[in-house]
Parts: sequence; C-alpha cells; structure tokens
Amino acid sequence: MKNLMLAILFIICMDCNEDDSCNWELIESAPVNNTVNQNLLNEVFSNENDYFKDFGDTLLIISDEQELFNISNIETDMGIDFEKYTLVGGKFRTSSISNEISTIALYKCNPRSEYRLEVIVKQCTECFAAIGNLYYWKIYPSSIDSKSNILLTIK
Amino acid sequence: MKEYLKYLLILITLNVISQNEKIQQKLEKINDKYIMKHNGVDYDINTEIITIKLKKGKNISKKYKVIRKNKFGFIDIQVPSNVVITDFANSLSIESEIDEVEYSSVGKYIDFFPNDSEITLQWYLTNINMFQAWDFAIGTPNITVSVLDSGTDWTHTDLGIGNDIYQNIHLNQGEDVWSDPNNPSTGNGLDDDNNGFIDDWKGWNYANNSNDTRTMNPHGTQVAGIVGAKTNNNRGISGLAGGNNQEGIKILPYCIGVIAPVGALIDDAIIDAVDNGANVIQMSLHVGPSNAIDTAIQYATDNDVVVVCASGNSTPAIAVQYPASNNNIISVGATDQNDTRANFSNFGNNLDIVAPGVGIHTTTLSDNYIAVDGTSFAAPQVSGVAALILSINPNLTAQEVRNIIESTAQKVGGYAYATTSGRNNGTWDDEMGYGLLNAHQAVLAAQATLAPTITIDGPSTICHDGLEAFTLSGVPSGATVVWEHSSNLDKNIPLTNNTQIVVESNLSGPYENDPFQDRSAFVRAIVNGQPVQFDFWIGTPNPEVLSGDPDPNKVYKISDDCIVYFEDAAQQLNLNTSNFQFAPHNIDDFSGSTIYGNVVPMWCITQAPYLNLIFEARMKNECGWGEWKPFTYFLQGYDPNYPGGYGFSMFSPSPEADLTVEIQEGELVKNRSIALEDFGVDAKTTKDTYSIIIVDVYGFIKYQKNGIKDKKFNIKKAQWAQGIYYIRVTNSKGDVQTKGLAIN
Repeated sequence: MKNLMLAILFIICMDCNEDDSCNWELIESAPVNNTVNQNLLNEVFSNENDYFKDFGDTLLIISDEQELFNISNIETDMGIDFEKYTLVGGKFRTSSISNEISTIALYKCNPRSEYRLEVIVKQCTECFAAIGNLYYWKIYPSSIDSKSNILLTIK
Repeated sequence: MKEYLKYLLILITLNVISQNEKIQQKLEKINDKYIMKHNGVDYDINTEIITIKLKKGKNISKKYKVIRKNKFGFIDIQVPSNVVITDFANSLSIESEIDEVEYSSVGKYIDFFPNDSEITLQWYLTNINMFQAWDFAIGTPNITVSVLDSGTDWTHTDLGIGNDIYQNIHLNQGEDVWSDPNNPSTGNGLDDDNNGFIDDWKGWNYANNSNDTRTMNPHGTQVAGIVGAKTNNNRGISGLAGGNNQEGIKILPYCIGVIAPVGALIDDAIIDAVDNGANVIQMSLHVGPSNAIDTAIQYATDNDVVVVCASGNSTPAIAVQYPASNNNIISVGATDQNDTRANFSNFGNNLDIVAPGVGIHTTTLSDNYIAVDGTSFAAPQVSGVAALILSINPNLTAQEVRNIIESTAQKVGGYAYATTSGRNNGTWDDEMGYGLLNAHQAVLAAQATLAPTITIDGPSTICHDGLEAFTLSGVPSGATVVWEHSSNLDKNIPLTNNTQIVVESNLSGPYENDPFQDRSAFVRAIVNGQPVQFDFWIGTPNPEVLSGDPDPNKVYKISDDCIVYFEDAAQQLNLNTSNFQFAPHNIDDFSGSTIYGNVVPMWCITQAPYLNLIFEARMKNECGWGEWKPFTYFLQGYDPNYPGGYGFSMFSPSPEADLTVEIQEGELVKNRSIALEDFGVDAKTTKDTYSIIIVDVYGFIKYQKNGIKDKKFNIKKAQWAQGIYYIRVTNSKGDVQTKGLAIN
C-alpha cells in the first residue's frame, strides 16, 4: 500500500507565462470507463463535500482508496484502479458562479519531474455576480504520485 | 449665638429636605453635568426645562415662564438663565401651590436588535449601520422589491410560509390563489389577471415559462434573503427590510436564467416587474449591452422604480459591467470587513456606491443559510435600504431615493474621495463610488423628506385673566416664524420667540355678561410663509343649537316633536347635567324641558298658524358658568283638531327651479264627515280646496290659481326677477295664511 499522503498545493497561477526552460509534454488522461463511478466522483468534488469547506484553491493528488476515503468519507468503491492510476482533483475560486471549466490538461516539464495542470475556464458572458468555486477531477497514469510537484494554472 | 444660628440653619435645611419630597428623582453632578441614574443607565438632565404639577384648583404664578401644558396638569417651565437647576427645583418645591417637581432627562434611542438566531454572523449589518436604521424603518408590505435572478425558493421559512403566520413573498392579488400555497400546480389553470401568465401567484420563471420560480441555483434565494428575510422572527437571519416579526417588504421573484442570466429575458422581466407594482428592481448579474434592456430600464426609471445592480466581479477587477454601467442604475461594488474594496469588485467611472460583499451570511436552498461572496450580495443591501427609504416615504421619486443613498454614504477606507464632475451627491472615488452604504443616515434623510408636521400646542380654553403660552413644534431649523393672533388677544411681547407666543385676552369688561361677544380666538404662526393655526376659546363657551330641528321650513302641528339638540360652540365640552343648563320661556307654545345630555325634547302645543319657541341655555367650564344665551324660533304651525286647520311649506332648490308648494291638512280636514257640516264645511268633498296668489313687493300678481285640490304642486318661476314675493293661501273656509318668498 502506498503511503497515505495528500498533496495539497496552493500554488495557483492565473495566466502564467510558461517556463521556457521546460520541454512541455502533454500527459494524456486515462479514459474514464464504465467502472469509474463518475456521479460519485462529481459529488466528492463539489461544494456538497465539507472537506473543501475550509480550503481555498486546492489541488489534490490521490493515490489510493484510503486517501480518497479521507476526503470523501464514502466507502463505496469508485472504480479507480489505483495500481495503474492517480486521481487529480480540487477546486478553485472563480469570479462568477456562471463560469464553467472548458478543458483540463496536464503537462510535464521535461526533463524535470514537474507538472503543470492547466485548467481553462469558459468565462460567462451572461453571469450572476457571485463568487463561485469550480471543482474538477481527472485520472492520470500512476507515474504521478503524491510527491509530484504540480502547478495549477487557471486560464 | 453662633451655635444657635448653626442649629437654625440645620432646621431650615431640614424643612427644605421635607419639601423635596415633591422631587422624587435624585441627581448626581458629574463633570459639570447633572445625571439621573435609573436601572444602571445614566441619563443626562435637560437643565433648561423642569416639569411641575399644580395642586388641584391652583394657578401657576406669572413669574414662571410656561413652555407647555398637558391635559393632565403637568406644566413644563423654563429654568431661568444663570440659575442652577437643582436650586430652581428646590425653590419650586417650597411653593404651596405646586404638588410635584420633576427633572427632564435626555433620552436615548434604543437600537433595534432582532432576535434572529444567526444575526451574529451578519457582520455586514454593523458596517452599514443597520441596527440604528431599524429604529426608524424596518420595511412595510406596500413596498415590493423584484428580484431578477436565478429564482427564489419561496418555501424557505425565513422568506415564505413557515411557522409564522406571514410571509415576505409578493402574492399577485389579481391571480387566483393556489389551493396548496406551496404547490404551483394547484392554481386554477387560468390567467385570471390577463397579464399573459397563468397562475403567476408568486412571480414567474421566464427560464422555463412556468409559475414556479424555485430552481437548483441558490443565488436568487441568497440575494432575496439579504433584502427581505423575515426579521425578528426568532429564526435565521435578519433581512434588511424584513419587517419586525410581521410582514416586511415583499419579494417579487422572477427567474431570468438558472445557471446564468439570459439577456433576452431581462428586458421582459424588468417591464413585467414595473407593471406588477415593483418599487425596486434588484439585479446581481451582468450581460452584454442591449438596447432592449436599456429601453426596459428607461421604462422603470420613467415609472419611478429604483433599479439596482451589482458592479460585477473580476480578478483582477475591471470596469463596471453592464447593465450596472447604465446611468439609470445604482451600481454597487463590494467591500470587505475592513471597509476596503473587495479585490474582485469591479469599479470605475460607473460605480455609484459600495456595500459589504465578502462572507455575507444569508438564506440558501433547503431552508438553510450560507456565507457567500460577491458584488451579488452587496447590491441587495442597497436594494433593501432603498425599500426602507420608500417604506418611510413612498412618494419619493427614483432619483430622490438614489440621491439619498448616494449622499449619505460613508467615506470609509482611506480612499481619495473627491469632488468629481457629474457626481453631484458628494465626494466620489472610482473604487468606492460615493462610499459605503449608510442605512442609518439614509433612513434619517428619508424621514426628513416627509412634510414636517408643524403644530401649535396650547390650552383649548383660556379664561379672561392670565397669560397663556402656545408652543410651536416641528419647525425646521433656520425657518422664519412670524406670529399672528386674533384681535381679541394681546400678545405678551417679551415672552414671544420663534417657538412660543404668550397671549392674554383683551376682551373688555366682564365678558361673562356678553355671551354674544366673539370669544373664539386663535394664534397663528407663519412658518416659512406657511400658516399654522391653533383655535381656542376665551372664557366659557356658548351653547348652540344643532341644525335640523327646530326647522323653520317645517309646518308643525300640536304634539309634533320640537326636539332641540345643543352643542358647545367651541366644540370642547361633552354636555351633561353638570355643565349644561336649560331654561324654557313662553311655555304656552311648547312643553318638556328635561335635559338628556345635550338633548332637550319638547312638544309643540301651539295653535295655528304660528308658534314661538323661546328658551335659554348656558354652559360651564373651568372659567365658570357662562351667561344665559337666549334662543327664539318663530315656527309655522297649525291645529289639526280645528276644522279647516292647515299649513303650507315651500321649497325651491335654486332660483331657476320650480317652486314647490306643499299643503298640510289637519286630520279633520282630510276626513270630512257629515257631522262636520255643523261647521259649514262642504260635506261632498273629501279634501279641502285652496286658492293661491303670489304678488311682488309692488302688489303686481305673479301667479294666481283657484280650486287647487293637489296638496303638492309646482309653480314655474324661472323668469321671475330677483326680489321679495308674498304668497297667500286660502282654504275653502276662508282661512288665510301668508308667507314671504325670496328669489336670489
């Protein structure tokens, strides 16, 4: 069993300039097959989950069932094979509850073992003026572990 | 000898102390201020006024300056300058005619602190001075705030029907009620008010074209709670204008998009809100500029509907977004707990005002509460205060409401507020607008817009001797005041100032002997050119007879009622046997003189054709009994028991109209019998016949007709000249009755 460890990164970069010293490699996310309980994962990464209540912008790297249970308090198997995959998810603050996440892409900074999770937000043009939180999650190959350094970039 | 004087002083002092039993309050002097302690609270003493109560039947000495009196005998008098108030009180207390002496304290307004269980989480209420504002206004149900948003959950018990017997949701009175007030599908399926919406009892959902404004997005419920959650209902939060454990302002919800607002729906919702009686339109949204929305906003403005909108959020902040940027809208930015601009709060040239927008505790879905951020939650605070302003004065225009909100804002946060072109409501800053919303000062300013109630207070009756003070209150500061008074009064010049006049009667001689002397009096203050008058009476009022009976236009027969209703000419006394007396004269013409309150029933006993009612009446008040006032009524009468007895009356509603003559016959004339032939009456007729002749003052005949059998008939007189005419009516026996007629 992997060590129980949650990486909570507060490094948020809005519209950052990319590091020119990196050779950025797009890491493909794992396909979400029928065994993955998407509804339950959507519930874990939502404002209904009190775990996130006390945090601001958050990025979690979840490498096993126990870590997932720790943040969700849900015992139901969510269908992620943590021998092969790592769950990356979290939340960030957005200027309107009407904004939506457009795309999520993970880049590796070669040759260093550093990553950049780029979240592109589709800004609403017709918006309610309440500050909101957008939640996200993606499943990636388990080469990413809780010790990895991931920079969350919101665009 | 010194010892003797010492004991004498002690005895004098003890005497004063015993007199001071008339003064119940104990004062302390702290830092040159007199304080009265009560239940742990220190009250400052007003050192210019002291209140006394006289012993029964005693008059106040003329050496004291009376400010006002009340009807229970308490008199406020001026403390002379350079006299210590406690010394003055002690001197009053030894006056034999004074029964009580009382200091006047300077009171304190009690800030209204609602009992709502989560109010301590509403930090923003303190920053906008809401608690002080609630002392003056808390929202009234005649004011409607339309919330154009993601929908409002009217089942939230802090907004809609809960355990309380009231709700703060607008109910469309033109629409049939739902049989289940929590189930929109239980309407009657009809558009009862023909407004284009079926069963729209609690607003309308434009997003799905239904009468259910509840949606999964809590935003609209969060906004609505800030404006109008029930206040002081022992539950949840306090809405800014949510009433005091009873109906506050009404929320009229329109859903104009669930996840995001739909621009194409906003214009329609604004127009419908105006047409459905909204006083304030609240929006916490932004969309792309639109002529349709601009036109709808102009329509709202033209109808004096206040439109409020959030300035929008961006990180970093950008310019105020649309429609808040529309000049007809009050655009609202957000501040944090330190009264500085929230970093996400959009600002710039179009920003008008700011209100707290971080950690705003409010209602949300599932009958719950939540803290939320955004200019979305600053705007409804401005809408709530606008609703309070209109609760105080619903006649204010939208521009006047806006002026009040902007001109009373707090210049907080250390920003460089400055005089700015085009900004006429005070200094302005591009990050804060006119500053932080100030609910307290706003409602005070609203109160100041109410027409000042300027009144004169004083005694309703003054007696013939002695000075009386009349006090003017409610005078705006700086107003010019000019006093006037009736000619039967003299003004006591030295005691006259802007707020008081002291007068005395100048009626000559013992006025009681002249009941016809004009004893109605007035004092009048011309305040900034507008007169305010106080009417009162000098001495004992005269009795008067109310109109109706005795009636000179009526023909009386024996034993008809001639009931006399009296009233006090000064309209001050309720007449009874202790303050009203009646004395009949020429009692041959009537009987009965028992007094029942203000009524004296009498019965006529006179013979035809005339009767005289002559009697006297008088009244009594604190000035004593007045003189007897004589009353004389010369009435028309006839004796129905006398054969041939008759009378006639006339009526002409206008100079152009016909003259109506009506003849009244005695019973024996109406019911002729053979036995009456003894009196020479024609036994073949059942009714008498009459002749009538009308002549003018020169004797020229204007009208003549004989053999009249109708007892009511009209005479055309439209072409007759103005003047006096005489009418003579003769019956078949030759009995003549004559009256005068004036055509004006």
